[in-house]
Amino acid sequence: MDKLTTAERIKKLRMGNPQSAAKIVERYYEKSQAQMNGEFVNLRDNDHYVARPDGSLEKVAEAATS
Amino acid sequence: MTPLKQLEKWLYKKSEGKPVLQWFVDGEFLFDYTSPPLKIVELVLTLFLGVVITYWWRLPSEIPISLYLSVLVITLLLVGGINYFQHVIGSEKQDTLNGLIKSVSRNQDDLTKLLATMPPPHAMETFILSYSETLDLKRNLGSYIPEDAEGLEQRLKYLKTGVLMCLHGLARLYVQYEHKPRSTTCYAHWLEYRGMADLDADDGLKQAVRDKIQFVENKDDPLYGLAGVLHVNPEMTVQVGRTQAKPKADENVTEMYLPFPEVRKSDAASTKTRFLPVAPLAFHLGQVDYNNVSQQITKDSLRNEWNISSEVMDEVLEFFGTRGSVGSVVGYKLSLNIEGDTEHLGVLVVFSKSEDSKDGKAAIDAYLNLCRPLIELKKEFISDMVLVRAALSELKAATESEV
Repeated sequence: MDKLTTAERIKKLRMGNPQSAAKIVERYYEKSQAQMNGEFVNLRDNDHYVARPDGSLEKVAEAATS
Repeated sequence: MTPLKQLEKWLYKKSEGKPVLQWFVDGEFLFDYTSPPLKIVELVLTLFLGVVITYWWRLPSEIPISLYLSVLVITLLLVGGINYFQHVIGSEKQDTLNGLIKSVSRNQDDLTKLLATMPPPHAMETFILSYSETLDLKRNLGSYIPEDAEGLEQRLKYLKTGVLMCLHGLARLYVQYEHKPRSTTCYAHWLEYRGMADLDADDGLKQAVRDKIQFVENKDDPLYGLAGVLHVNPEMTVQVGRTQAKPKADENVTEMYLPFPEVRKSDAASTKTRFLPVAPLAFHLGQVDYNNVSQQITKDSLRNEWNISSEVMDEVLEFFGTRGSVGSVVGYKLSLNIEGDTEHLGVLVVFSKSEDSKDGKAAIDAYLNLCRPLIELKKEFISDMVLVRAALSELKAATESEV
């Protein structure tokens, strides 16, 4: 179980590294290229559920994997 | 030139320089067999065929039977051929028509989707105002974290204001996207997630959670089996209406903590959920939309869809029933994602009292797409807030230990 507090985990996350920055730039151009080629690029950060009239939930979209 | 040569020349001309009968191989047609002149030819040939058949037994003996049969076969071939080509042309025309109908229907669907998802009038102005002004506040605060208690407290105050400004923009845009009257009051809450590690690190917080936690089965040990709690904080709520010049907190909210149980392996297999509507469920699943809460969160639905005790069920029903103030609601998990690592910050809850959304799922999707930059900015404010608050409590602890 992760014993770090939220503040400690955020600090760790925000430390960053140059390799990650390079990856972000590369990923951005890859996705842009895909969009320009007419491909659908999933940008969701959450799975999406919609309640039916009876209150049960239906999954209508999935979050992006990366 | 013999008639046969003439026919051959004519056919060559009609088939545009291709070998004779190539048009047939290519599936082309020399004539439009469905045109009125060809219909008349077909009619005449059919009549002739009828006459030929009728006069079979009255044939003068001078006419040889072979000639009669040849005439019959040629007429049959001509009538059959014309009918066949008419059928093929008709089918092709029908296919083209069906394709056109499908294309029109597709275009109509695209247009309907476009209308349902395009920003409503003034939504872009609302977004630009909210985003640019909130970003200005963020830039103004900078990334520097003050070192003294006064500076930290001042920073915390402004960071909270930043979160409220984001909530304000999100609430305004919700009204516009749902095409509700501008007089509609809309509410936006941020429920902060506090994990068990946070509670273990802060005895004061742990006690506050014990005192104010609701909807738990085990009243004697309310934190048993929990991964954390979601903090319903009146200070982190806004209600936006036409008459209010400045946002004010949602006056219906009292401070409380909502339980977020530890996720078990059995949760995925179970048809019922242990996570309460709406915020804990959104924190578990990602995003949940209820467009008619009074019909979708009922005794029956709680019994069928949730695995919770009857006491908790009654509390939930009372909460939604007595407040009677939630019509349509969206719960959206806020997570800080950095290169595969994720920190879950809490849940954004946006709702209005009136039920149903005009354009349903498409409108909510479009709303959240437009709001995404505002949501990302809000995550930055929240992260800064958590860090500043931690620095402030560290400073206070250090001062106390010195004393």
